[in-house]
Parts: sequence; structure tokens; C-alpha cells
Amino acid sequence: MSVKLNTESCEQAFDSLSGELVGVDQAWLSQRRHDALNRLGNTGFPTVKHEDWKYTDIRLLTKHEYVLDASIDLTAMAAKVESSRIDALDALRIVIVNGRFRRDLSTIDSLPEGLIAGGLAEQIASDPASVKAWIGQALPENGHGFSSLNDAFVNDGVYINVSAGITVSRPVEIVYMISAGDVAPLAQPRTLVIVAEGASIEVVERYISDSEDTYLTNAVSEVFVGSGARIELDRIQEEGSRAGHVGGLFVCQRTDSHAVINTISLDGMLIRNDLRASLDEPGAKVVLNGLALGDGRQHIDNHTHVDHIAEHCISREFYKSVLDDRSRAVFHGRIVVHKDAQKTDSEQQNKSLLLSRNAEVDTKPQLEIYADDVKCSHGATVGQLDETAVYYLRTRGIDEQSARGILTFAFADSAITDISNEALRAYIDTRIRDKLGAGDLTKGMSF
Amino acid sequence: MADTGTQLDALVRREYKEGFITDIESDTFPPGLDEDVIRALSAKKGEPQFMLDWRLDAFARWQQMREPDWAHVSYPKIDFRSISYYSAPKRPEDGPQSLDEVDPKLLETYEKLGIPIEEQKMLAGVAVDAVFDSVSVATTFKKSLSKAGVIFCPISEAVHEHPELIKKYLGSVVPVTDNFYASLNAAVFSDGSFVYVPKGVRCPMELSTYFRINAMNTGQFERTLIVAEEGSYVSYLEGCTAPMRDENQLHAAVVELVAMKDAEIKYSTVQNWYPGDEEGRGGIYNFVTKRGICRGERAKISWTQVETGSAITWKYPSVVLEGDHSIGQFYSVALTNNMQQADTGTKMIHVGKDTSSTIVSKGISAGRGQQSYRGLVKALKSAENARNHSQCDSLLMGDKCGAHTFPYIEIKNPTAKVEHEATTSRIGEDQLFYCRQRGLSEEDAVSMIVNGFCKEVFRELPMEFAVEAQKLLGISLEGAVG
Amino acid sequence: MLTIKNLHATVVGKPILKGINLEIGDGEVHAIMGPNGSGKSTLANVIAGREGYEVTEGTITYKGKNLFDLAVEERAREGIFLAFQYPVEIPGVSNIYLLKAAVNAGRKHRGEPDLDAMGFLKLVREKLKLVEMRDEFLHRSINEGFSGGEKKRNEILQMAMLEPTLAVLDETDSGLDIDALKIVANGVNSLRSAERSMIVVTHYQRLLDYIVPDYVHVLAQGKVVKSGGKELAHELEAHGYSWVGDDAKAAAG
Repeated sequence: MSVKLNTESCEQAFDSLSGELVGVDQAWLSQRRHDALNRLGNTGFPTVKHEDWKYTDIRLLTKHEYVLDASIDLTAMAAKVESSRIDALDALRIVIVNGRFRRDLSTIDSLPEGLIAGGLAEQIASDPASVKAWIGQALPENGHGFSSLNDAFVNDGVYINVSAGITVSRPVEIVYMISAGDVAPLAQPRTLVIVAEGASIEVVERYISDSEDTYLTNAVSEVFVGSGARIELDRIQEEGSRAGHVGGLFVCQRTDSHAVINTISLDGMLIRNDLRASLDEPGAKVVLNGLALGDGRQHIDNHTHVDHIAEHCISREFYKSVLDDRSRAVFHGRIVVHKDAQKTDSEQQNKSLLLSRNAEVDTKPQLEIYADDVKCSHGATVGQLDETAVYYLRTRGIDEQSARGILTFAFADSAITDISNEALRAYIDTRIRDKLGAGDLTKGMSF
Repeated sequence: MADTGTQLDALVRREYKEGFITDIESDTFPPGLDEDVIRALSAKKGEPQFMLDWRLDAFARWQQMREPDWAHVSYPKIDFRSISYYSAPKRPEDGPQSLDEVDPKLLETYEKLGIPIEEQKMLAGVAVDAVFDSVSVATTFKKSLSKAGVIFCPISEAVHEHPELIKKYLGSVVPVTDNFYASLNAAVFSDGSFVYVPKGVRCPMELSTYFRINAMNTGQFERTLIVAEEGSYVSYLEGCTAPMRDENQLHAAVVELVAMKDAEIKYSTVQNWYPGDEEGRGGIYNFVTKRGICRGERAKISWTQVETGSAITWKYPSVVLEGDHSIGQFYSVALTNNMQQADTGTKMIHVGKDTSSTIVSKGISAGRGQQSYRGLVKALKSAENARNHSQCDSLLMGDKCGAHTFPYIEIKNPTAKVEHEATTSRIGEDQLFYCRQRGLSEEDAVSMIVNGFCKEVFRELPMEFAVEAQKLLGISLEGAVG
Repeated sequence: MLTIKNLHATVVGKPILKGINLEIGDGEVHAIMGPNGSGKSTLANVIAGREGYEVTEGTITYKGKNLFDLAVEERAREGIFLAFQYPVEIPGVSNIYLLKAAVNAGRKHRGEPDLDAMGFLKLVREKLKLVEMRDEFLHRSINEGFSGGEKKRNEILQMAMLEPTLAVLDETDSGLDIDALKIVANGVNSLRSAERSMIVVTHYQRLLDYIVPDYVHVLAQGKVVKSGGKELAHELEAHGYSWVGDDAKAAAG
């Protein structure tokens, strides 16, 4: 079944496919899907005329026809899944291929007490109420066409639930893989992560493909952080060179919860991330870090939106981009302090480094403040390496090229310091170093 | 829509409670806008053909355009067909005959601002008596200007006297197609000022006092054009700290500045139009397009604005930095109290090499005021070594107001360096306590803190203006705390 | 060690140095004093090779080589060390990383193998004591969030690690309280040796009570207007720079 990114085609696909989706017998789920399809019908897909898509033209994505149920070369996949392991990363592994959960490729045989981790479709089949209680709760009402599309065809993905008070000691690594080929698959994984009161977990979302073919990932993740709970979510995007990636991540936080979200965009032709965090109850804290490392003709667009709903919440946001060749980065960071959110403490920083004449950056940090007793600041800089720093390093005997390499690497690398897992950090370090061509000199630089 | 149209119409034509009588003069056009209205308007002013053609072209384009809705403001839809687009200049006998007939509240404000009695009369629209001879004052100014070779006259006069300059520069910075309000202005503009400073001339005076006298009753679609030739300098002051009596609810002005090589234009505005009452009734809608272009090398354009009036302000004084090494500056204080809404900021478009721009924006929001800074900094591929620094600070007073910051930064040149910083804070209770403990009244303390917050902008204003602006802030904030 | 002849230099087209002559022998400590704007820091930066400091006339010979033939980093590897007046903050790059990269760049230049991790750490710890700094200092970003005193101590630490043959200390005393000044001075003094020359640039005589120079030169309006022994510094302290003013005028004329 193939589909194009327009409402008519999506509606047709829905008519012929909706009967085969998981949980058709669940009226609430069918209703969800229909509502989402209606929303899509109303909004359509965004164009550059939408303020939120001003700098990201999706015609690169809409010109293709995508296959919703592309077949998978299992043998090849098994090998790729194996080779995608990160050295020394001791994690529980959930593998999703083309949006479908693969128990056969996952490593979740012995889950610790209090942790449910597995496929979303299986969870819907076995315990629909446990999904019904959460799914869609974190999505904004006025989402764009892509999140409606994911919602309309919601079928499989990941379900993680940590019971109250449980600390999961090993990280959960979710590997979203793509098997592409003659056809261009559309993968629409849906991920639900529920961290109950006082619980704690680290989740690593990895979007991987070594494919040179066209495909589209349209992912939606919802994260619920209970009172006093803690989550670190690391998203690493290493999509194929012709891949589109539209990723929505929606986080809801309760009293005194703490979420750290690290978004590292490395590969992929067009990446659009929508990250929305809602600080619903007092004392919640969210930290958003991002790194966009672009080269070639990559286009990396990070839209973040933090809602300070309750008082005494803290948000910290720190996004960086380093752009080479003809790549382009967009940063749109919106912080809304609602009228009762007194004592809000919010900081946002966006820094960009242009390495090439043809690179481009568009940045829009935004503060919307409706409460008066707040401390908010944001800053954005676009520029080059600090020439005094280059000089300083040279007076210490380091040649100019290395000095520039060191400073560029340091600039990029500082975006990942909040990733607590050392093995993961080491892996990303290497990827950054390779991509920047920073060479051996920067090895051992991270601290 | 019809309802709000009628409402607006009523507001536009309403009688002043001060006792001002709107005598429907025989040569005021009935409400409505079509080509015939524009032809008639142009004919009334005795304009040459090229002006009429220009207006008609603008009108045709305006009809194709939609009213912008992206600004962070809300107001009932305006019915542009319910506005009267021409009204002959008022005769003195139409206004109040003495200050006794003027709203005492207004007079109180004038008093606080320390405005001389004769000027009060003028501002309140009282027929000026013989002692205060504005004409002779204006003549003195005019002499010294013409000695320097500076042209400074109503734009309607310039159309006749200097058609070659008008043809060359009118619409050259803000084209008729620029935006909805600018197109409307081009089609129906009433009057405004024209300034031309010849090569190498430093304008001998701030174009201010004269302006205050000269520029009354320019109407709701004001149009200003300032051209500074190579190596010249001019400082232009617009507006007035005193609340202006005005019966037009919609104002859509256009200001164009052209600075040639090594020229400098300094444009200062104090805008204090009627903001509406505490419930937001009445009040001016101020939708302004202001833009300057630095045409030549080392040209410099500096905008300074103090915006305390109007119910709705929609205004982005901008600079196109075309000449290498040219400089653009924007200093702004905007205050919203009660139900006021302001969406204001600037655009700095870097085209030439080594161009630099500075943005300092101070927003103060009180009552139920909503205030947004919206600014664009753009460096084109050609803008080698472009530099920008933006500082946007907001001060909140009260828990029902809002302060928002929407900067846009678009960089296409890797040697450009752009920095944007923004902070939002409230007046600290400890600051207030400290001041009051030292014997200041709460209002004085607030005024002091607010003025400190705005210092960077005030020091860009000409001295006399700055003092008035400080007083004005204090008055505009009365009752905002406590 | 270093011979400066008739050195003229401009900064953004503005002449700052107008004919400096200096001869610095092995193991000697020379103090360069002078009022603000006399060209002291310019001289330091010209020796280090900073961009934007254009030499319009004259020569500097260092260990028999034409200094101007060497790039900034080559000068550093040849043993020239500049302690900055305003040490640069470099977020994201740790102190220890810089020390290691710099030490090894110098070793490579001299044809020596890289220092192994253990050997390096041992050396660093030793030098840390010299400037009374703690281990954790090493893992912080270079100068980021450091106090004035910490920054200057960090400069001396780097100097101790790099073991230069010519150290140029540019206003190392500025912004230091007396305790920090003593620590810095002790660090510098312990590095004095017969093979190591130093140029100490300072506005005040105070520093020279702790780092006692062999020679003192007074700079005014881009020229050396007076040279003498350490006692010259005391005379300056007593009479102020106006005391050399007449000479300065003569030099300028």
C-alpha cells in the first residue's frame, strides 16, 4: 500500500488499510485514528507559508510515493542490527524495523522488576487499557499534519512503563532501523514512555540506516514523567543520506520531575524535530540539549516548545549547530510562560558556527511571557571561531589547523556533556570527530 | 464585520466629549474607497498626473493584498470601506475656543509634562491667539534652513515644487507593494514631510520644534520622505510627548529614509497617541512602515523611538545596509499599560561588506498590556563581515501583562557575527523597598527604576526630548503599581 | 637570546612602536615599564606574533633566527612563551588537554617522543604545586569562569609545563591581590635559570619587588626612553612617569 503526502492519498490509504491495524476492535482506538485523519484533512501538510515551516520546505519529501507496508530483508536486517551495537554500551535493546517491533531482533528477555518494555502493538493486544490511558495525552491539539498522520495510522512502536519507585539501572536502547530498497518505506513508529512516581530511567533512541535510498521516518514519541521521577532521553539521528525524518517528541512533567533530553542530529537529508515539553506541575525541571552537525546538503530543523504551566519550574535549553558545505540549520525555540507560572526560571541558548560560504542558519528564539515574577533569558549567536582563542592556542605551540579543529570540536562536543552514559558519549564523540574531520588531536579531549 | 465597521465608523466620527463639534464639512468625502475616491483626492490636492498614476497603481495592488495577521495583537477587524479618506483641513473655529473647553485630565497631563501654555493650546486644538505667532516662528526656521540649502516642506508641496526628487525617491525604500498598510498609504496618503539635505550639508538644527508646529493635522495616512545626500547630516524628531488629540482611529504612516555615501540620518520618535481607556475602549491603531536605506559607503541611519501611546502599535523601523561599512541602529522603548498592545521591533538587512547594526529594545509591560519585540537580522551572501548585536529586555509590572520576544536571525554568510540577547524580569520588590525606605514614593521609585532600565535608549534622544520622554514614562505608568 | 633593532610597529595603521632597541642575554630578566599606551603590550604581542600587529621597520633576532620568519606556533615551539594580560577563555577545552597538546607539540618539534600519560600526569602534578592549584583545576575549561588570580596562575602553570627559553609576562600583576601576586611571583622565580630569559611587562613597580629584574627599561610613546638597573624602578615609583617625561618628549620629537 503506497501513499503520497497529501490528504487525499492519505485518506485513500486509510480506507484500505485501517481494517488491518492493531486493535480495530477497540472503539476508542478507531476513534483516535478517525479524529486524527480528520485533523489531517483540516490542516493538510505544512508549507513554507506556515510560520512554523517558514525555513523548511517539505517538497523534498512530498515528491515521493511511500510504501506503508514495505517488506523486510530479515537476514540483512539481523546483521545490521548486530553491527549497530555501540561498544561497551550495556543496554536492554528494543529493535524496530520500518516502524514495526521485532522481538526476534530485540534483547529484552530478562527485564528487571517493575519494567515493561516491548512493542506497542503487542501491548495494545494484551492490555489495551494500559495504552489507552496514555496515548495521545501529550500531543498538542493543534499539531501539524505529520503528527496527525502518525496518529491516524498508529499501529506499532515501543511501549515502556517503569513502575513507581523503580530505578532501571541499565539504559533502554531503542533502535529504529529501516529496510529500504526498490520502494521507499514510510516508517511511523509510535513510542510511549511512562515513568511513574519516583521512578528513573535512561532511554536511548537511535534512528539508524546505512541506506542510500529514499525513505521517510515519521516518528512520534510521548513521554510522561511522574512526580519526582527522572528520565534521560538521548536521541541520536543517523538516518540515510536520502532520508527524511520528521520526529515529534512530547514530554509531560509532573511535580518535581526531572527530564534531560539530548537530541543529536548527525545524518539524514532532511530532519525536522518538534520537541515539546510541558511543565504541568510545580517544581519540574527540563533540560534540552541539541546538536545539529550538517554537511553536504543536509537540512536540520529543530523546533522546541517549552510550556511553563505551573509555578516554580525550571527549563534549560542549549542548542548548537555546526554547518559545513551547503547545509542549513533552523532553530526555533519557543518558551511560553503561562499566566500562573510565577517564579519560572528559564534560559535558552542557541549558538551556530558556519564553516562554509554556502552554509546557512536561521534562528528564532522566542519568549512569550504572561506571568510577571519570572526570570527568563535567551540568547542566540551566529559566528565563527574566536580568533583570540586560535591565537592563544598557537602561542602554546599548536598549529593553526589543529587549533581550529580543537575549537570546532569543543564547540560541538559541549552539546553532549549531559549524556551520562560514558559508552554512548564516547560513541557520539567519535562520530562528531569523524564528521568534522577533527582528527587524532582531539582524541581524549572530552572530559 | 458590518457591526465592527459601524463601530469603527462611529469612533472615527464620534463627537469629542470635550465639546469638540465635528461639523460635517461639505468637502469631507463620504466613507468608502475606490478608484474614483483616489482620483478625487488627487484632484483636490491638484496633484500632477504621475502622482495620480502612482496612487492608482498602489490601490490596484492593495486590493490584491490581505491584512497581515501574524502580529501578536488582536483587535476587531477593520472595515477599510467605512473610513473617509479625505477631509479638508480644519478651520480654527471648529476647535475648542479656549482651554476651558478642554478635558481637564488632558490639561493635567500637559501640566505634568511642563508644556508651555501656548503649546498646550495648540496641542489641544485650541485656536491659537495672536500673541503666539506660529507662522513667524516657522518663518525664522525656514530662513536658516534655506540658507543651508535644506528643503523641508509638506510632501504635498514637494510634489509640486520638487517633482524630480519625489519621482526619484518616493516609494524607493518602501515600494507600493511592500505590505498591506504601506500600499494603502501609497494610495491615499494625506500629507507629511519632505526633507532634502544637499551634499556635504549639516542640517543647522534638529528638525523638531518647527515640526511640532508645522505637522499638525497631517491626517491619518502620513507620509514622510527624507533624503540625505553624500556627506550630509540630519536629525529629525517626530511626534510629541503630549497626548495628541486625534479623531482618526486608524493611522497607517510610511516613512522613507535615504542616506547616501557618508551621510547620516537620525530619526527620533516619541509617540503618545490616545491609548484608549482602562478598558481598552477607543485608542489609536498605529500601523506604521518605517524603513531607511544606507545607499552608499559608511552611511548611517539611526532610529530611536519611545512608544507609549496607541491602543495597538505595529511598527518595525528598519534599515537596509546596502553600502559597504554602513551602520544601522535601532533604539526603542515601548510601554504598554492597561489594554494596550504593541508588536514592534526592527529589521536589519545586511547587504554590503563590513556593515554593522545595533539593536537595543526595552519593553515595559504593565496592567493588561501585551508587548512583543519582533526583529529580523538578515545577512545576505554578500554581507562579508556583517556584525549585529541585539539586546532585548523586558520589564513586567503586574501579573496580567505579557512580554514576548520574537527575533528572527537569518544568516547566509559565514563571516557574519550575530549576537542576540534577551532578558525578562520584573521590578524587584527589594528594589522598590530600598527606594521607599530612602523616602521615595512608590511611583517615583518605579519611575526611577524604569528610567534606569531605559537609559541606553534615552541617551540616544536629543537632550530636550529625553527629559520629556522620562517624564512621559512616569505619567504613563501611573497607577500601574500598588 | 633576543635582539630587537629599531622596531617599528603599527596597530590598525596607527604607529605604536617607533624604534625600539633591546638586547636580552641568556638568563637575564628585563622589566619593561611605562605609562598606559606607551606600547608595552604591543611589544609583547609583536614578539609572540599576533595578527594585526604590523611590523613596519626593524628586526628581531631570536637565537640567531629572524623571528618574523616564524609563525606564532613555531615561535612557541622554539621556546617563546607569552603570559597574556587577559588570558582567553575557551569553553569546552580542558586545561589538561591544552597542556598535553602543547607539551607534545613542543616535543615533536624537538624530535622527542610524546610524553606518556603517566609521565605527563606526574609532571603536571608537580607543577601544580608550584602555583598552588588543585587537581580539579585541570579538568575545567581553559580560564572559563576563573577569577583573575586563577587565570594568571594558570598562565604560570602553562609556562612551567612548556619550559620556555624566553618568557614574556604581559602585565601579569594586573588584577591580582597581594597573596595571588606572591604565588605568581614565586612560580616565576622558581623558573628563573641561566638558560631562561624573561621580559616582564608591567605598569607598576610592585611586581618588581617580587620578581627582581636585572635591567629596567622605560617605554614612552613607542621608544625606550630610559634604561637602567633594578633601582630605576624605585626611582620611577618615587617620581612617577612624568619624571621621564622630558626624555619622552625628546624621544618623540
